[in-house]
Amino acid sequence: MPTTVITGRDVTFTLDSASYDAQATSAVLSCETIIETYQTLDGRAYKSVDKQWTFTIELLQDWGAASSLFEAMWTDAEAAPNTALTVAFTAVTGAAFSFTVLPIFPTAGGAAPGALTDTWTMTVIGTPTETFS
Amino acid sequence: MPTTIATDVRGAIKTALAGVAANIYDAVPEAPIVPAIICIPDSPYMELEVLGKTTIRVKLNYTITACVAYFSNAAALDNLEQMVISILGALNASKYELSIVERPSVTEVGTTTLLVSDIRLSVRYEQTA
Repeated sequence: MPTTVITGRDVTFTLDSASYDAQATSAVLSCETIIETYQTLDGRAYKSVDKQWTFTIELLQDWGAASSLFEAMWTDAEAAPNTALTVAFTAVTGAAFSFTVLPIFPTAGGAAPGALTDTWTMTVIGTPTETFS
Repeated sequence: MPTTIATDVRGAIKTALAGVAANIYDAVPEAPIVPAIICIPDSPYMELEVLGKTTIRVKLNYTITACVAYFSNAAALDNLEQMVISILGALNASKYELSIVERPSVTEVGTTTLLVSDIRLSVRYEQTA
């Protein structure tokens, strides 16, 4: 089969129905799988016991802008910290994932003289629902 | 009306610099009249650094070259320093990322000797239809 290469420019996502493409420089959906190992009399045995999904995005701060994403996230984290936000994440056309995350407080400020950035590491509730087509 | 880099970025920089006492060029002039400020593309010129490809968004890097006449070393350096400080003050909008000012160097353009210094500037641009 031919080599397939997809790049970060193929990635798109919406968070709470807002498109973050214009501000996001990186978006990663990852899973930490906890596999326990048991030393039995017959040898080593393995058991997958738990999974925790995480959605990590790196962004350019947009405080003060019209329809600021940072201000929207701050408001959500302050007003409704336990209300899940829906995320629709497309790695590339034909591979989409939907899941929910809890809001977090974004960072304000950074170092001179470059653009101010932030990394949001958001805990995914449950397991993402994948759509492969 | 679609945006263009010439109007919305280089033209905007030229407008922002209008208050500085110098001739402003938003492209490389054939023969600059000093004191002069020249906005020229740096390398890399365009950096793609955001996700998605439905809209073209790039980070543009520029060199703002400040030029003064080089007759007397001490006076020329003072003039150049004052012009650089004026430029940094004029480009105080949050959209402009100013990083460094390069060391002054002597350049000959035609028969004129200039003392020039480069200021690195970055700005983000989104193409709209």
